[in-house]
Amino acid sequence: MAAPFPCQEAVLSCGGSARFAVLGEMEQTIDSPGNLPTAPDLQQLRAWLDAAGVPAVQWLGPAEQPSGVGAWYPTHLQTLELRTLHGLRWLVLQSTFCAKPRRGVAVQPLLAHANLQMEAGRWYRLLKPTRLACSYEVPAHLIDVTQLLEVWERFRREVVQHGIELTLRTRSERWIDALAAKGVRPPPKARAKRRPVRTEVL
Amino acid sequence: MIASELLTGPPWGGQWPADGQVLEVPTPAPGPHWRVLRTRLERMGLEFDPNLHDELGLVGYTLRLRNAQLGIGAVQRPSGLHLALTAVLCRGMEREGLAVAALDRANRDLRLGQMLFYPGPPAELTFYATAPWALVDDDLFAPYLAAVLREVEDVGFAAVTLVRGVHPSDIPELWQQLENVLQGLMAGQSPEDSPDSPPGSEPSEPGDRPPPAEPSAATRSEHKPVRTKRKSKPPTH
Repeated sequence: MAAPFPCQEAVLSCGGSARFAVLGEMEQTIDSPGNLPTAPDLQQLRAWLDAAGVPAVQWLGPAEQPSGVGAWYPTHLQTLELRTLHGLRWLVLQSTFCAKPRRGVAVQPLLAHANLQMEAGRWYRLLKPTRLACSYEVPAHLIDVTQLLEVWERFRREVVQHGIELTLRTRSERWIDALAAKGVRPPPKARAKRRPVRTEVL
Repeated sequence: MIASELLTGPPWGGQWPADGQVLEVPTPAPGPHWRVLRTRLERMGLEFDPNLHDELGLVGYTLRLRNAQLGIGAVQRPSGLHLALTAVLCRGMEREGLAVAALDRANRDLRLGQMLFYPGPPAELTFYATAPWALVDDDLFAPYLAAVLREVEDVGFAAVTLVRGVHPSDIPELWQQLENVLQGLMAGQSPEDSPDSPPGSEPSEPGDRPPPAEPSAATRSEHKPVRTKRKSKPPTH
């Protein structure tokens, strides 16, 4: 079908991959971004989370080469990964909150509404099994402990706020419960150190 | 904005500054970061305009790009200052019923940023990305902007294709077509009768038209809807 307007024609004719005019000028910048500061590694990020008292932090993936860090909250599992995308290192925060939403038709408008309210991150639906997830990415090159905790906590608040609402309105289960049913559970809590028995007589 | 308003004063009130003085524009996120942002955009050789809201003042800069309306600005949030980037990918769409599905697919495929759907009218598909201001410095700004635009290019336009979105640059043409349709209706003609009438043409006066003749029997029969026999379904065995 022919598009009625010229710009639309341009978009349709190249299969939806019309290029930004400005990108041509930026190719050089993208392919050789120059001397950017090195992003902190996963070990450093985990150390910052541990030091801040984030609950039940554990490695994701194989122990020899972990792909990220996860933290277990009472409502959800929040993960952090480092990825390279378009020449930059990105800190990727993710959380799957809802499992098997029962109101299939209503899910998409509810996600669209949640996305309008999100200040950081996006909600989307994943399939097999159907679940609702949220992601947020920031450039990782300049991240320090203050920025990491700020971004982490802000994402956690938004996920909980919209995740609970989405769970109720789509009549979903919690993904954390689905994980528990598969045997994936938070790491056991470290035992508290026993106090030495008081021997002195009062 | 009309010329008289420009002569009397800035649109947000007050007075234009004297020659040689810097114009203080109100903004919801005041601070020196606006000058920093402008310098960065100038250094990249981009052409941009200030985006001046009637009540809020300066809310960002609009970049003149070929196939998207791109806005970039600073947003003050409770957690601090953020760099925000918006790209209106289409405004108005032929298949609006697919918009929410296209949005969901795009958000799943995106690797950074988010897609938004504003129901309108006119309905919009918009890309939005935000990052704390401190995480994008002078050296990172150009690669960051390029990375975001490349992601929009990779994912965003697929959604536009799915909904057959009307590009923002096509909006004046859309209005022109709408105007033609309305003029056709006001002149008592169907829009198909005069699709090529120029946008500024005056509709003909009712007195100029000849009085409608009584429909003859032949024309009446022509207008009569033709009824055809319904075909019965083939028997199923």
